Amino acid sequence: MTAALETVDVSCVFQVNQGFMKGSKPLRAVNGVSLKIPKGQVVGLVGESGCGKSTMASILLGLQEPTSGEVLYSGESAGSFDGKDIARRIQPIFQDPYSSLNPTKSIHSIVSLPLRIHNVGDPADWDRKVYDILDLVGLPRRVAQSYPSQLSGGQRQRVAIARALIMRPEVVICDEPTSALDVSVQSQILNLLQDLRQELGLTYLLISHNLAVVEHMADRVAVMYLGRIVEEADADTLFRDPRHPYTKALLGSVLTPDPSLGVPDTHLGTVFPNPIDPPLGCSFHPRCSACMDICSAQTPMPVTEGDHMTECHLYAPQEAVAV
Amino acid sequence: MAEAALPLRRQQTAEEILEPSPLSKLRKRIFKNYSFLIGAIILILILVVAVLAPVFEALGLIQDPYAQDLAKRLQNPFWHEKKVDPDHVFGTDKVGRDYLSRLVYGAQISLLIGFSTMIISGSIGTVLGVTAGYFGGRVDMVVNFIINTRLAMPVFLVAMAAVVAFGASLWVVILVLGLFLWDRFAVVMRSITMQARDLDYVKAARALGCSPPYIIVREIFPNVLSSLTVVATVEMANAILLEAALSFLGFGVQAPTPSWGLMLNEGREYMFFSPWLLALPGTCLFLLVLAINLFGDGLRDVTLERER
Repeated sequence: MTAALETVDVSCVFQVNQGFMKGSKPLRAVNGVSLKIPKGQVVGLVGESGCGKSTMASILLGLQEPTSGEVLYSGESAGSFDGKDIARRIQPIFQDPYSSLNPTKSIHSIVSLPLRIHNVGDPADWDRKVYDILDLVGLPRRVAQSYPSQLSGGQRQRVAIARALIMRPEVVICDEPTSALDVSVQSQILNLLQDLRQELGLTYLLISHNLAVVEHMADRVAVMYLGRIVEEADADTLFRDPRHPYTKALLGSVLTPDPSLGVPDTHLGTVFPNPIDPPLGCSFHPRCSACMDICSAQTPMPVTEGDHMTECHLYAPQEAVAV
Repeated sequence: MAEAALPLRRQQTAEEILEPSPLSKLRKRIFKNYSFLIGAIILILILVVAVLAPVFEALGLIQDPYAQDLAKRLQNPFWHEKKVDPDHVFGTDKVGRDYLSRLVYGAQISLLIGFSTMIISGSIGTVLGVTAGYFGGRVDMVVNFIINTRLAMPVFLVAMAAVVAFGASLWVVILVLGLFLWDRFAVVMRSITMQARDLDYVKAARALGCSPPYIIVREIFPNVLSSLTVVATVEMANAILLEAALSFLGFGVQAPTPSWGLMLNEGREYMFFSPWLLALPGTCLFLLVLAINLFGDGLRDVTLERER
């Protein structure tokens, strides 16, 4: 199956100013990421804040030019498309529905903006399409005349989904689509996303730090740490048999409903490494519970077993021989 | 198709149906905001009087502001305990011109200077600030350099130099102030555009393939408009005061044009014997600037609430 969206060794480096007359240092927000998003599937991308998830989203949306590497849309290089072509194929849903809708525009104007920008149909057509999509995302038609400030968070997120879907894109990039919402509304939005995916045959990239959401939605999961994908596998496999120590720690950090169990100890510490000055060798080694000598000296290479990719010295072939 | 999503659609609640329309909410906010109301009333009053001044003159309500009558110099205004001339309610100045009509025509000059300066400097500053804020990087550096250059130049000295070079006239004052008072517009617009640029709705518009001009004009601009109005009113008041100061020093509007600043200067010699010559234009200036500031502050509060 061809991938709807694929990145090949994509890196994104920002020059960070160190202050007046001090020059700048490179910050590798995304460091050589290769990710395949097969058509019709949901790929989850998980990781801590600051690990480069949102930069990945910007690159995939064509908002951020990668410093090196390539983004392929249905197997074709991004260079052969202009911004509007990419916009027709890929649409985002953002985290915060309070800032993703322009407060000065009516819902009708927000949802029909893609049609107007891409010159699809005429005003009568727009009305019909806007009402169709509002029905589809489960909003009453009368909200078309409302302003974002008159809607609840869940309703706003539905409007954002409607805007993303009105051009019928192939891929939807959901950047933490539920983390700004109430728990009761979260499940509604997730179910809506599931339903829409089946109805419209959508492909999702689900960016989240909420593992329960990813487990619920995703077919395949990639774990990101400091700009690299450290583990990638089918969702079932990854949640049943995590291999990378970081993935294990992430899964171990999920809070249980039983308060007597307390806060789980993940051995991660609280210090996220400075991405301007990443640790030598494996970037995870200062926080790793299974750290070995080689980890601080040598960057691990990705090891693939079936379709389970891990980037850790624990699973490197020569180590396996030594053990 | 739509059936699958149907269970998620919910009925409208009573509050939603009974919720007042945005327009009636706006009306309510306007009438609750006293600073806006007071400012607007004074401002409209001054505006109406200034615009209708020729009509009032034709109707005989006020007299010709240029007509001198040396026999009736320095007449007392109506509240004075000594002899009062019924023809001149606010008295006359040192050459016997009717003070009321000069004040009314002076309002024209002040408002004209305020509006034109605000529009010229507002356009320059907004264009510079929004471009710098949206594009950032090199563009921002260049604009920042221009702003700093402008801030290094004292408006008053440059205005005086320009008047010496081009001769004093109303239009020289308007041009000089307009070309110099854009710094606050640029600084404010730059910073709020920078904030707006990183908001998700701008990202969404970019992800839809909107062009930068479209995003700036249609997505960002309506959201920075309320801050713009506040800066605009502050700068308008500032321009009016600067014009009065320039005219007072003789570098602004030239006699015999009635300008409040010039009237202050002309009345200076008679300060101890005919204090109203200073008090009247001073009060007018004070009221106009106060009204503009109250109006601007209130306008921001009234319009901002819609966006929350």
